[in-house]
Amino acid sequence: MRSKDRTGLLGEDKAAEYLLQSGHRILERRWRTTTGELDLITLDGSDLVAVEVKTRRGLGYGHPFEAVSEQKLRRLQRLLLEYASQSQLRPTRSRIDVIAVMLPHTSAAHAASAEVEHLKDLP
Amino acid sequence: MTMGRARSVVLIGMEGRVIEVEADIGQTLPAFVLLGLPDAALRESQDRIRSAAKNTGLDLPRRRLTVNLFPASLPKSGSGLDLAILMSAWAADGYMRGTAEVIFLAELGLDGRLRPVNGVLPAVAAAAADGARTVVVSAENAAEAALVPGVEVLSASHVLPMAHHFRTPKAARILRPSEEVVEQRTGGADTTVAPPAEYSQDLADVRGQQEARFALEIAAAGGHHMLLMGAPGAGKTMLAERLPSILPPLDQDESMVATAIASISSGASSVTRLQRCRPFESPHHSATAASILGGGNRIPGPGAATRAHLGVLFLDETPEFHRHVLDSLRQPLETGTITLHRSAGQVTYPARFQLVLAANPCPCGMNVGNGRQCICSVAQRRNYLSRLSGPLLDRIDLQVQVDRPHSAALALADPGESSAAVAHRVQQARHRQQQRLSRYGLGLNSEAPLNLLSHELRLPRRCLRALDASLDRAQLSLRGYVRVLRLAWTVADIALKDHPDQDDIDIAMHLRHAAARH
Repeated sequence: MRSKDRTGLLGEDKAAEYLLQSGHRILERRWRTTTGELDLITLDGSDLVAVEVKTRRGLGYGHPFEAVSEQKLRRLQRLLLEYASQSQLRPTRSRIDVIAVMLPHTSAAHAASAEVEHLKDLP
Repeated sequence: MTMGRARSVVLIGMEGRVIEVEADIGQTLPAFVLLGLPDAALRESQDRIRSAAKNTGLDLPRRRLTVNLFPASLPKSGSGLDLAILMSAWAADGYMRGTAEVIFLAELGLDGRLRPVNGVLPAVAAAAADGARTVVVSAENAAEAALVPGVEVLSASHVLPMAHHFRTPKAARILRPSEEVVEQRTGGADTTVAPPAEYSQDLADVRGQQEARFALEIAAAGGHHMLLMGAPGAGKTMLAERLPSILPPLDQDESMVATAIASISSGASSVTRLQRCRPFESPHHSATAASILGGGNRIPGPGAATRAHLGVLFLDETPEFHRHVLDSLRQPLETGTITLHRSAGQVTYPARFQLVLAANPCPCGMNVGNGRQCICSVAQRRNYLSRLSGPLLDRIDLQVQVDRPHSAALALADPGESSAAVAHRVQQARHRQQQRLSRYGLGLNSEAPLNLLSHELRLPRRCLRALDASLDRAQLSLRGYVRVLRLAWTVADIALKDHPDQDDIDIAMHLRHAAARH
């Protein structure tokens, strides 16, 4: 497994942990279709949430949030609708969240000191 | 708190408008939105601001940053708002406080350095008039900003010490330490002692040329526009260049205006003290109307006529100028201002200058004296000078012939009278004019209208006999008649007479006619 993928997986674990703590119920992880992938799908109360997780080991290539483009948000919205219709869920509301996970530089000393930022309900 | 405020100033021509900058941080994806009609240079400021912030260790928030420039309807341009935007953004993030009432006027470098901007003096003056107490500028602009009395000027060469000055405890932990401290001074402290006007050129350098020197003195005393006509090398340019040195020095208000114009038109950070010398502008004859009057597409900048405000505008080789350029000077000659209209709005610049024209008598320039050396045809000669005839010439009171000095005059050991001596007489003459004309709302003989000259200031009939005869014989137009009278008053003022007598009128008629022999 390449190191960038490992970073991504590690970030998703961190994000899932964080979401569980803040009261989300996790429905799916890495849900895939032929047209794309959703990192995490959760229920926050009665809201159906698609969570995009962005992980970085430094700010050299910009903040994780800066990697989420308008186009990507549109794709996430489409995928979330697809998931909702497929899973027969009738959520009162659905929304897109983005979570940024900042890992420390060295891969050895991971886990504890990761920094998580959460943006809710993106347009 | 997610709102931050700061202030700055944008210049529309010479007029400064205080701009309120407000920044808001939204909880969505990172973006930088600049509202309120920014131009291209201002829109680019976001990248400068991000880099500058990063390089001080105090990153901008990784959220949506919305910056609003109020009043939103006013088109804004330039890079002087950079620092205000950065400070308001930091204030929105809780890093700065006390920025809401402060005027920030500086451009940012990518490394966070504060760079000087143009037009600091008029901007700070406008801010002070608006009630601002504190102004922040780059180190290079500090002296210029401190020319405005009553403001507290803070300056630094980098944004870091400035950030320390306004920081909150939250920022104190993150901010990189700074070796430099903010320099503080009070405006108006060193402007009370006016430096004397110094000119590099003195009238003493001009040998001989008694008649032309006298004409120059009259022009300076009465503020008369002037035409110097003569062969190449006769000393027309030399004389004109020395006119500012015999004009009275600028007073406090005038020097504020002149310095403000210099601040707008010359490069940033070139102004360090009030300008006492009268400006001298001598555009080349290939100049366009835009370069003389001012131009540019959004908000036009000042031209040579505005830079010559309160000083001298010298057009060498006047007939070589484009006709429409010369004619475009008629509005400023009439009103003392230039109004430029563009789709983005209109701008008015001051342009009360003394016009000095220089011309050769013909294309080859040798048509002087008996004109034997001249190789021009009659048609050529006539054509040449007809280019500067018409309405423009109507506004020139003094038309003087400058002859090449004779060897006898050059050989004279003693130099001509110095500028200081002549300036003293000019000052006296101006004082007399002010006493006489101030009750009519005028200051100089050159501004006196026919109405005034033929009623309140009417001369006795016996003095006017020769002049009236010229008018009756149609040697003189009515406009010419007025100009002779104005000149006669100035001649009398120089001679410390209460009103012109027969001799003064003869001299005035001669000065007006001298160049018209051709």
